[in-house]
Amino acid sequence: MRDMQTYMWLVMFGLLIISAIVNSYVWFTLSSELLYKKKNLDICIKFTIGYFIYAFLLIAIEILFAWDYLEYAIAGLVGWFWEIMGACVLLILLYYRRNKGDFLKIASAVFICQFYLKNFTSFFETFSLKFMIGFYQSEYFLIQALMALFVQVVGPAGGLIILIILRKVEFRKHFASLFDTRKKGIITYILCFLLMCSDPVISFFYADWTNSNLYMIYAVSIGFVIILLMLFIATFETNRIKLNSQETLILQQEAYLQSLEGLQREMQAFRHDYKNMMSGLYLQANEGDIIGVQNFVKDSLQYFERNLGTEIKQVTQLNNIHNMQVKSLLMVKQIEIQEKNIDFKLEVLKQIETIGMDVEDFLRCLGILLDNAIEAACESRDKRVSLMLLNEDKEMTVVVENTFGKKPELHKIWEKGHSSKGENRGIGLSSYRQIVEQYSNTMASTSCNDSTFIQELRIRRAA
Amino acid sequence: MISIFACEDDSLIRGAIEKEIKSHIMILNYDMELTLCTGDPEELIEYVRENPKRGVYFLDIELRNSKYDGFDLGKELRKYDSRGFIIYVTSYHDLAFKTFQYHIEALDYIVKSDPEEMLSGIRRCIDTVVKRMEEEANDERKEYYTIKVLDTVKHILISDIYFFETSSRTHRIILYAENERIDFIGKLQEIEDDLSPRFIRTHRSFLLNIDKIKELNVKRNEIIMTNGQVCLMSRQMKSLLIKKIEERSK
Repeated sequence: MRDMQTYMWLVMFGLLIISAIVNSYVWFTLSSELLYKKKNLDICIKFTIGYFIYAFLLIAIEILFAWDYLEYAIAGLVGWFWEIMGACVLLILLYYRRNKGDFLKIASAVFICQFYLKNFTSFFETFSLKFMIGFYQSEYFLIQALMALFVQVVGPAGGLIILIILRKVEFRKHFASLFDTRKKGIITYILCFLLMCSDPVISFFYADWTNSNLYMIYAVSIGFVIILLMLFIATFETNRIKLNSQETLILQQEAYLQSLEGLQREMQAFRHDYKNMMSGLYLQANEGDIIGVQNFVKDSLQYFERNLGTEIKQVTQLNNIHNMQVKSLLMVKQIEIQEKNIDFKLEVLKQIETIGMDVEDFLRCLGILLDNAIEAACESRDKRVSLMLLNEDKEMTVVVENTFGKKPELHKIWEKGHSSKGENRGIGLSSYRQIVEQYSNTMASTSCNDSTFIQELRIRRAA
Repeated sequence: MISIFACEDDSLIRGAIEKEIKSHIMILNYDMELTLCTGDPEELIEYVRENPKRGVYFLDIELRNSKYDGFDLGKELRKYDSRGFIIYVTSYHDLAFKTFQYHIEALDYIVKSDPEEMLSGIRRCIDTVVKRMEEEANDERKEYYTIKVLDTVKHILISDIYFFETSSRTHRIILYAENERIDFIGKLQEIEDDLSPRFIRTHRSFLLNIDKIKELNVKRNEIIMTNGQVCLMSRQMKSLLIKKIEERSK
């Protein structure tokens, strides 16, 4: 009999470990799916270890409180508190340490995951209680273990279904848009928190109800309602963004047309001058005035060199970029800069075919850098902004230079919310930093001398 | 004796450049010589690789029949001569000079479409180089720390550095200096070995310039730098740091 006892403990222990691994894996993949593009093994391992410690602590506490069934109610409450808060705090801390950005976003993602994990687990719990009650009363330990496996492992694994759905619709992008503004972020955060609390509150106060058929229907339906709701918000946001991007597309096309018109005007002027000069040259050559012709050629060479329109020069640089999105962003920015009477210099020395990072992320980075440069240059005396894009075999470098009114304090501009112009205007640079830090092949540096401020972004290509 | 090099593939223009450099050096009696004047960039690279020394380079940007253009040539030369003076010769006014300035630290550029302008440009550049070198000789010797950011080497004045910090990404270090914040790949331990004892490892992820420490906040285990930035210190380092700071103020 004693052997049987040890055997039981061993199986239970093994189950506990499997359950903890499955739980932490689902937790981790689901929450990081909402937050980051790539999974991070480092955090995953840390979280699994943390989860183990936490799970053992949880059991210890439950045993401690529920030892004599004396304080069963307290045990439930404490258990509930630990169950939710422990894992949440753990994961939030881990993400937050790594990416000191958006607390609200990280916390909300973690809350959603907790909701789904709990939702699935309690559904399976009730299901097994209802329909497999026979097994529960069984003497056979193996069957009891199977039941535990069913509830503790299959339950949380159900979270993977949600993961697949979220991944399919690329929910991450829309999720981020729920945190555009602080107000929106706080609302989402509170809603997610309430969502997470809903199930434990029900099972704590209406414990009887959780054993009914109705509860199972409720558990399934709430899960699906929530995911439908999220998908609805997602598509709604997508449409809104699509509308916005169509507007920008129209703007970009307008900008392109404008620059084409400018080009045409310049070509006309050029043709006109060229004709005049040629007829002058013809007359001089007819008269046999060699020295006159020589001087004339020299003068006209210089004339063309100096008067070759800025428009043509800029377009030549732009033509080196073969990515339409980057090209049109630069066109729009170019017009914006010209409207503000800032001297803009664009240099693209070599052809750019591909960019070593996600184009959307790159566009956001470029936009932020240029917007900041424009803003600072507006306050300066000689208003200059220049952008250099250099494409080499192994890396691509983006350099944005601008003049400034007041010399910025370098270390402060990287802090969130810092800006020389009051509250909440430095958000740009901190999200730039967040994007850049998501990649392992990017390096962002900043430097500054007496007159210019320089932001450099290097993107290394995969070998 | 400072070597001057010229690389230009049009033999007529090359001849004019050669003549101008030689006569200008002779007239002003500069301690310089035209070491190599060629149309083949590979010959120039070969020479510089074998005789690495600080030099002055006049490079054509539009080199035909060559696997190098002016930019690549400049980049290659920088590998062997990081402090030399590079001047570009081009036929276009609308050259992307800022890129050359930023990535190759080019000194200047000369437009060759007008011969007179080109020759005066050459004279002007040689004069600038001579002036620069005199200024540098007068400057006291300054110590630089060299870091590598991907393919580029950067020199930072050690006395300008506040501290190094490990980034959240693995193997990444962030350097905070007077006018710079640089993100690069490195190991804090190796930097510590290079810069000790002027720099001190106050925490697992901080390496500080002792001269830039303003005060210690012993209660919160923080160090405040002279520019107001806050760094961390570990408990083990606390007593050692207090001793160091006391030593410094003596």
